[in-house]
This record gives sequence, structure tokens and C-alpha cells, in this order.
Amino acid sequence: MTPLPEALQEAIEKGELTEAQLRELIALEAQALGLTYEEAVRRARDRCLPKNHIAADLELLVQLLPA
Amino acid sequence: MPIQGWTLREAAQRFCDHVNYVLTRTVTQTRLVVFEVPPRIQVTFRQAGQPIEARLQTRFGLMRLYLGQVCESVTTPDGMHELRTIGYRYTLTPGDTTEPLLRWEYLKIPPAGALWCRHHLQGPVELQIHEHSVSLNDLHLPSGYVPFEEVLRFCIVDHGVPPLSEDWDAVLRDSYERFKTEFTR
Repeated sequence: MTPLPEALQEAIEKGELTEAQLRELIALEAQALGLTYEEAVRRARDRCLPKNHIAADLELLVQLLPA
Repeated sequence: MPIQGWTLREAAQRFCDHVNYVLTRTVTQTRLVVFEVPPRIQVTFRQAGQPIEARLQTRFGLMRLYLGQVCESVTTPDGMHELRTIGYRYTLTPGDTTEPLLRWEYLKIPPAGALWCRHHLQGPVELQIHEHSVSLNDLHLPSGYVPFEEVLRFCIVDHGVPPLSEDWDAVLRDSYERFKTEFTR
């Protein structure tokens, strides 16, 4: 996975992400899985992401998105 | 197992600090990181913002542990933020393989139309049922709510992970009780 942008890392360390930053994090984890943001969110909701820890994390991140 | 705080941040940090304390006394110094996207929070192992796994030396060789949880805040009548679990994922993955051997999962709200057990255990484990060979990945083996303490106990007792303190058993038992009493209304 490519390193996260500094601002995103800082937001995670501070403990609060905006919705835009959450979407940015999902997009970066999706990229690490070779997926687009939209594909990753759809597959997370359908529970058909690859079975590894990045996908596990991504699936939990998608649960943070507003319904 | 609700955890409370006067703010979402306070409740989230309280949860994260507690689990990190238990982890450092039992199986790993790898630390969980918490962040909020109100009204929800996520807790997982992270380094430089990226999700990571804790490396455990077991009697079977290297295993990697992933812990992740999402909680939602509910405001109580007295104005406290109370955390409710929306989902968790605990996995154990051997060596350098990518797919976990065991996945304990919970989803409060499963996908539309899904009727399977929301608390379940899965993994690439072949089961022989009469003449049928079935993967545990294709089943949703009911597990009940799995406290994280029990996964750590499984790592120490069944996988032989050397505990990081002499009082690891008491730490796990106390944590379990604390979630049932102090952290629970």
C-alpha cells in the first residue's frame, strides 16, 4: 500500500476524520486491492472483497459511511 | 457491551486505551488506533495510518492477528455517549499467506436479503459432510458474540503465544468482567 498523505495520517493520529477524509482512506485501500472506490464500496457491502487484512479494514471503513 | 464518555472522543479513547492495555499484557505491543467519523468510530491496528496486523510467534510458527471493530455512539438521557458495536472482524493468518485461517465476524446490519448468522466463524477449512466437501468459507458457523479477550486467550493457550505478563489470565478475566459490569449499563 502506498504511504498515506501526511494530512490524512495526522487526522488518523488525532482521532477524527471528516467524511471526505474517510472516502480518501477508502479510495487508497481500494487502490491497494486494485479496485476503484465505487467497486470497493459495492464489494464491501456485498461482502465479496478479497480475504486479507486490508480488505477486512476496508469493509469496516465502509460501515463508517453515512447510510 | 456499551462504553461511555461525555464525548464520543472520550468514549472511543477509553475503549481503545483499555484494549491496548490488555494487548500489551497478553500477546502484543502492537497498538490499536481509534478514530471517529461521528457518530461512529473504528478501532484497529494501524501504523502511519495504514492497517497492519500484529505478528505473533506461535507453536505452529508465525501467525498474524488482525483486530478491527466499528462502534456507534448512542446518546443516553443523561447526555453520555455510549458505544454500541456495529461490526467486528478478528482474523488469524498463518505465515506469509494472505487469506486468514480463521475469521470471526459480526455485522449488526447484514446485506439486504442475507439470512445467515450475524456472529459467525469462517475460514478456508474443508469439512466433509457425507460425500460433500464443503469449505467453512461457504458456511456461517454460529459463534455467538466473541469477546476479543477470548481470541487473545485462544492465541496463548491453543497457539502457544508466549504471554507478555505473568498475570495474563487475570488481565483477560478482569477485562471480560469489566466489559460486563463497568462498561455495561
